[in-house]
Amino acid sequence: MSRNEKQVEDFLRRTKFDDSPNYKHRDELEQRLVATLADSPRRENSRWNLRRIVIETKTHKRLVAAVVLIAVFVGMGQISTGRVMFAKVTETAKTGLARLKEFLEKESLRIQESPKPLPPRPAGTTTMPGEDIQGVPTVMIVVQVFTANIKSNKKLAGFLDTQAIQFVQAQSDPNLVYPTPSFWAKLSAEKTEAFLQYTKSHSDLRRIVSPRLLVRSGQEAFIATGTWASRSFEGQAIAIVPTIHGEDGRIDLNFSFIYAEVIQQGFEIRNVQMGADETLLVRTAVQSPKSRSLIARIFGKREETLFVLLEVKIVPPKDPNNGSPVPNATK
Amino acid sequence: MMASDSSASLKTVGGSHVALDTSPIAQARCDSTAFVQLYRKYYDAIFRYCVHRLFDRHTAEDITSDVFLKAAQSIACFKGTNESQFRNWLYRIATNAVNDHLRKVNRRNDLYERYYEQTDEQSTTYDESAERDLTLLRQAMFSLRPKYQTVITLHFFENMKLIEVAEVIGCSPGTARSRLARALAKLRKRLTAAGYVP
Repeated sequence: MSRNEKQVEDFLRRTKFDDSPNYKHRDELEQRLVATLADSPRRENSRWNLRRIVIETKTHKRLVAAVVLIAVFVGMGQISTGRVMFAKVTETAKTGLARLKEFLEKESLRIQESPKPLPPRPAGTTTMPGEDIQGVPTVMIVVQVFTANIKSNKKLAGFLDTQAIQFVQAQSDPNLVYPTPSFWAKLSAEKTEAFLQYTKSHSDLRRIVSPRLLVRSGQEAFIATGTWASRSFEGQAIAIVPTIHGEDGRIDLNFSFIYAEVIQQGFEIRNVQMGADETLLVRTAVQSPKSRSLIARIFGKREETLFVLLEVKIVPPKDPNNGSPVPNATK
Repeated sequence: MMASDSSASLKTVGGSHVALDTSPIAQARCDSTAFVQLYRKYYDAIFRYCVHRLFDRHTAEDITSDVFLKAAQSIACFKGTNESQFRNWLYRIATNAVNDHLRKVNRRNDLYERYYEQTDEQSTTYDESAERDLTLLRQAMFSLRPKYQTVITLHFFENMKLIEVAEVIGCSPGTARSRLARALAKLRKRLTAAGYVP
């Protein structure tokens, strides 16, 4: 420190102000504050804390989101058979994500007040693996959504190359403003295992949600997943129609995906024949369309690569008499 | 300078742990009495900060009122958990309020006039040397950009450490240190130009 600087500091330190508080002003202001506080809405302490737990802890946030969405949306899949329609999925995403957000807010209060830590499954609408479904061939769907660090994509791309995973471009959703370039590939059991091992051993590919559900062959299942960040709500909606193909254990799969935040993006994959041990891996990028767009300015530019691993397995129906699987019901 | 941290306990609800925050900050969000207690605790500090920034008691009272009224309206949105964060939050509100005030058109000239009126009234309180120093300092400080005024006031008049200054102005301690160094260099030039002779 130079001599001049020291002199300035000394000058500042010895400067004296008349800064004694005016207690008349303090008391008057206190009265105004009391009136202001009486008029302004107050936040309940414990509710705020619980909300903070859900919002600010990634694990809790995803756990609550995943549990609630499965409870709410698995039952919505009992609709007619047929091709997955983008318009329907988009609408489901819009309304479903809004409902999910609303539900989470209500659940924050309910969890706080109720002795049960998690919301109950809607009666008669939700099925879990192992439960009997009236002897009808059923497909178990496991969806795993991963987010990839865009900066580490070289390492990930290298892994995909070494595994010789060949991606095919999926169709874009004509109903969405910003169709997303998306690619899919079928993985053998060995490649699936290698991919999952990679996700466990590398931090650049992070699993954000992994719901699973049962659906009858040929019927449509919806899954809506959401994460509730501090100021924004984002989510993915997935529609799947698995149809058991004859008795050879193959499954015809129609699959739609929509990433819904501010801008809705998505793609569709039709009539993919899945072998008994095969999985479907989808790679898609979700991002703001232009970094200078108004939406990007408001909500920040997003550039994220998502991987969706879809596993479908035929679940043999149970014998209604003894609960054991019916032999040769489906192969 | 740092206030005590919050106290929080865990309450078991349905097998899961729910944090039951009993800190004064958490209480202040839902209880006006708790907020008023915090107000009483921090009124003096914020008022003094405003005086040190504005060199004018009356304006400082107005700004202090604005600061606490804004805090009362926004306490529900305040995300901090302990009193240290609350105090920094108040200082941030005060800093923004003072800077907004200083940016107003012709405000600086008006402040000068009021200051001279005030110093005439207070001539019995300070000796001539102190009064001259205060006048010089005031002229020099107001010629600096608000961000430089802020770091000087927080560090020298509010006796904050650099790490605390950094928390208030929302930057790293290194940035606060370099900003303070620049501010002092500029202040020295202004003081010299205004006739300060050590």
